[in-house]
Amino acid sequence: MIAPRYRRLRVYAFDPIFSRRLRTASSNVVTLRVPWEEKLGDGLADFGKGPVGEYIEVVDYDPSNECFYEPIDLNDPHLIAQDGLAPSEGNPQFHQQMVYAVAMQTIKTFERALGRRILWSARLRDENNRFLNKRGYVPRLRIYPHALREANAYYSPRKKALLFGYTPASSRQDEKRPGMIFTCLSQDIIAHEMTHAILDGIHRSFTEPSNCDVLAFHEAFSDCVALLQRFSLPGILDHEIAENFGDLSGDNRLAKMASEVGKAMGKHGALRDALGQMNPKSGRWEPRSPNPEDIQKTFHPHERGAILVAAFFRTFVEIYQIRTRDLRRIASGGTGILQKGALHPDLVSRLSKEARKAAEQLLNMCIRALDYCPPVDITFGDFLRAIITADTILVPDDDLGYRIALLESFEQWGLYPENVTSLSVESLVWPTASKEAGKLFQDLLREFYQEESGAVGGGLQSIQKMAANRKNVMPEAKQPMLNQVEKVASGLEKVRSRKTQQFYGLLYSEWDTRSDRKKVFEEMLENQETINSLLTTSFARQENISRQIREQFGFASGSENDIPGSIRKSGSKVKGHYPAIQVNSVRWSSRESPDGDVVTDLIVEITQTRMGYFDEALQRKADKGEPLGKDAKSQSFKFRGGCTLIIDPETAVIRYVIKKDVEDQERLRRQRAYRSGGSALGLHSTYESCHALREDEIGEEPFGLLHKNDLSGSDLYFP
Amino acid sequence: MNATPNQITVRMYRQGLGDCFLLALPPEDPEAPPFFMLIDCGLFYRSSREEEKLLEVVSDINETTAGHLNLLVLTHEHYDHLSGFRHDTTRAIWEAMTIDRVWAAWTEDPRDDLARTLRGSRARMQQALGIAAQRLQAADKESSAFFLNSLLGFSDRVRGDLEFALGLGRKRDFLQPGDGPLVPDGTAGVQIYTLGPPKNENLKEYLRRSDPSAVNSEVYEHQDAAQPLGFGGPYEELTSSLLAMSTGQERAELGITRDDIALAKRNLRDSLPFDHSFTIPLKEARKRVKKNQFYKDYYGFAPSDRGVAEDNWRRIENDWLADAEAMALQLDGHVNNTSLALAIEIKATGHVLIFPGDAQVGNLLSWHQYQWSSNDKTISMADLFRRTIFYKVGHHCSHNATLREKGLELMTHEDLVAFIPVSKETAAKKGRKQPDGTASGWQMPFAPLYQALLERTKHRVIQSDDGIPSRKPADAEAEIWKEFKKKVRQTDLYVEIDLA
Repeated sequence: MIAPRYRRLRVYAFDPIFSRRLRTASSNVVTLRVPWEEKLGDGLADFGKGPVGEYIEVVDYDPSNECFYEPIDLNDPHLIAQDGLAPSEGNPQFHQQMVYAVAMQTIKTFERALGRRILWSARLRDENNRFLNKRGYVPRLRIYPHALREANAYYSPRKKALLFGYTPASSRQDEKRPGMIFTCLSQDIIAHEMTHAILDGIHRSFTEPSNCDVLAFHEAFSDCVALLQRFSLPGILDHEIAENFGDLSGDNRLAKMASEVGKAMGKHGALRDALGQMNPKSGRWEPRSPNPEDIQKTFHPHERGAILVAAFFRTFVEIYQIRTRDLRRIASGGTGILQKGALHPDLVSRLSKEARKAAEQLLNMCIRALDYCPPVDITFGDFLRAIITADTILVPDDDLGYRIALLESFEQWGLYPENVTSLSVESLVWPTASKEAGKLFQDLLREFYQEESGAVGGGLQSIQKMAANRKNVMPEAKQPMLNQVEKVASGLEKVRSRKTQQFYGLLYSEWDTRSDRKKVFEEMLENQETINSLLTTSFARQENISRQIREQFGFASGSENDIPGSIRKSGSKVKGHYPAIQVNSVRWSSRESPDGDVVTDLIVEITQTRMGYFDEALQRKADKGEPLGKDAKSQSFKFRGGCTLIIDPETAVIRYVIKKDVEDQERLRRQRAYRSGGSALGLHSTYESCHALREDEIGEEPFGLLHKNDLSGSDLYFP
Repeated sequence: MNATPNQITVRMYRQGLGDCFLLALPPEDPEAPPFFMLIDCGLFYRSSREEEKLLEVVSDINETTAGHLNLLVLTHEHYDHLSGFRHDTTRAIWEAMTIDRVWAAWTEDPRDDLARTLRGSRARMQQALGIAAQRLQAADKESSAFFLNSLLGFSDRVRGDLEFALGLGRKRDFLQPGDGPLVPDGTAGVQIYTLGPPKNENLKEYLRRSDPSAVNSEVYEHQDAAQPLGFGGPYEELTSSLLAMSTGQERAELGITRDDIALAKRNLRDSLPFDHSFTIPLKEARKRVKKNQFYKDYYGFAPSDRGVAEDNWRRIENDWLADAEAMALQLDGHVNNTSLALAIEIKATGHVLIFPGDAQVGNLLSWHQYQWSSNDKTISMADLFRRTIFYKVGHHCSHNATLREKGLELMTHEDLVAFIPVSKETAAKKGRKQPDGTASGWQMPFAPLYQALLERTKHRVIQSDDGIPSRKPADAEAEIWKEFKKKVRQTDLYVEIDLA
């Protein structure tokens, strides 16, 4: 018997409170189809109680009550027969089922869009907070559904865990009812937190607030995923659209609904007031109209993120409009103006299908763009460029005008990328490397590749030659020797064939959605090392090209005199000290275009660290390589730069270079101002004194503070 | 120290991170010694040589005033404003002195019901935070524990010191906002306006707000959400949970009574999330380890002989206590907002000195709702600000204790000077503990505000730790600086300025 593809599990569609209202009770349960998990592969226990699967482990410990809640067994035939437990606030096992189901749903959303498997961010430190020699593989994200006694939930990068809280409903001002509010019973909060975790797995440095957009981006992106994922569920929109009577502008209605999602999340995400709010005077919900000036004066991560969410939402509505134009005409005898009264059920179902499709497509665009982001210091403008680039590669002809819709919406909200001459699709696509630099890189890869494979090939040939030449050996003696040669040869052949499957010395196993995640992780580490050594040895040796590399790729190599001394170095006395290069990620990305083409990219993220100093005089000294005083360290922060290279694996041609120059003085100046709290830009620090920001040390739980229901001074303390 | 008619001398002591201001006001009888007014006397918890420094300060006060203080003002219940009344050595001096009158805010009034309620809820939170700090410390959550302890340093059992100081005066007054102008017996030529803490139907709203609002921020450069919920409310759960789980030792140390525990347990009973049939107590789960792999595999319960279990790093015993940080901040902001804020007017010139204590946004905003009448004229807060020539910068020049549009930008007088009682050295040692063992530091003074002060005062800003700059600041105008230098003088113990 073949295992089924899906496990059906029931969850709340909206807040549990809707199950107690007559009008909404029936529509508040939705059945999700999550991948069927059973045998989880080598070295892993089978899918079991918790639930514990391949990606997720739900551990229901409640520390404030010092107790566990019995883990659910989803393989219990009684549960399989009825799509899991029925939604219930009072049964912790249902809570476990729900977090598992929504978490898996979110993972699948990402895997489908990216065309590869999701990895959790690697573990860098051990029990005692010391750095591990090698990055640790984390097979599963852990989820604690009842970890906190507050209306808060967060992703902990340290523990690779989601912590959900609960609180009596009465403690919330806007809600006077008995019982508890459980954050783990909100689909949107779960999806939001999952997105934080997945994003951290792809871009670790995006938890490092190096400019005012970084954390806001984390929030906004998580909200967009939560929102668009919800809209892409069947059945959610039908009701709304049916009630819409003739007015299909969609704008208000969809936004209002999205805003209700935001409201249910409380101050949790950026969404709450992103799209509009109730006008207390008129008592009506009013959409927020775009104001390009808002972005200039909004700096709190949530409020700033709200602007990005609003820009995306506008795009979604536009795409929906584009997709339904014909339907509207058909249903209105060509006028496009629908008559008042109830809509035909078929029309409702077609419209909601289009809305679903629009949500799905926009969501995919957003997720795919993650591979086209700079490795550090992301801004909203960078993300816009990433989306445009990713989408241009995959869908060269923008027939429906999605990219234009996106651009227009961003423009209305004042979200402009830096350093672009005009806001057109062409000028927003990331630049490619110059011919010379591209060729240099290509040559380096080739040279490296030939050296490696040449050694193997040569070895094999000489052994075979040697064996063939020994003609004068007795036949009896010859056979064992030939056997031996055969053995060696086949071993080498294996090595070679493995190598030839590689791309320029890089391991390349299938990165699709069926591959072994641990293997993928380990190959990635190995590939990182390969490229790292390629760059540190080969690039560094080539003095003549180091200037080009610096200019083109945004990191420094070689030993020219004018390389800032504040860039961290590695190497030895014998071989010389070179600016240290870190290869943070080497990943393959394959995705299928709507036309059925498969586009594969090799994505390499290279970063470099430079010490930044709050005191500019100190900075100048450090850049000149002069010795600094003892207490200089406490006056410093880590300034990162580097690039993401998008490489065509067939030809080793660099398609795009997405760089954040480590030598960019202007960026350094801005980051200094931002980190020191009050800058000309009016930015504010996010976690206490910004001097506290150190690698992986942005407070113990960066998202814990960010998500506090009341953002008291908690994230900023100046007593 | 002397005071001629129409002139005031202000002495800022330089004990460290803490407030202590001695004012010599013109006396009613021109032949008599000046009218001495002292505003606060404290030094931050566990500052180096705390007692010694305070003893120096108190001795100097005693000598300067010849043992007679006309008025003692206690702004609020924080260590860095009151620890001068803590140690036996200083207490002996205070007790030997004559203190005519003590002023404190209505929030300290033992007969005021609202004030009592507020103090009660503060005390509970304080105890709960004490427990949280100890637990976090024990759990090696050093960063959080350090953070809490830094904050708790403001309020370490200060109530007793406040009460001691309140008892020193022959008379005492609990001032209401909007009171005044008051003319204390024995002075002439000055009158005093009470600006805060607020007390009206919006009280909670005001007292709560320790941070600037999100939009149209009132302060310099920080835009942060106002606290939507009051004390007690959102942290009631955490407070009750902590009190209920306190050990006997903790109870004894923190003075937690049986009634406190009973109340906490009662509160908690209503907030259990699930029926008992679903729960497996921790002990029970440990026992099950042998039969049931789940808890061993996923919660790090290894048999004791095998040492630390693999998954230990993911356990969450104390993560929920991180909420205590937010609670501590709220408590701290709340106490700051109970600051008695005063404006002293020199009648002859109409010039004003502002002493805001450590008032934060809610308190500061509330000042604008009052009007005073003096000589048949109506006086608004804006009037007072316009005539302000001396500003004691609130809360050691932190980001949230000086308003911009409704504060500093209204202080347009050309003679404005600002005094900041601060110790950058101490502030740098607070905050959060970092991996390299150093502290992240509190931003005192907060750079953008400090910059604004320099501009407003034409560089006439004095920080107690640095003292009077020995050289003219580069950007200061020579003439102005020369005039300013004539009015100020300093010793290692204090900085003094004459104001008219």
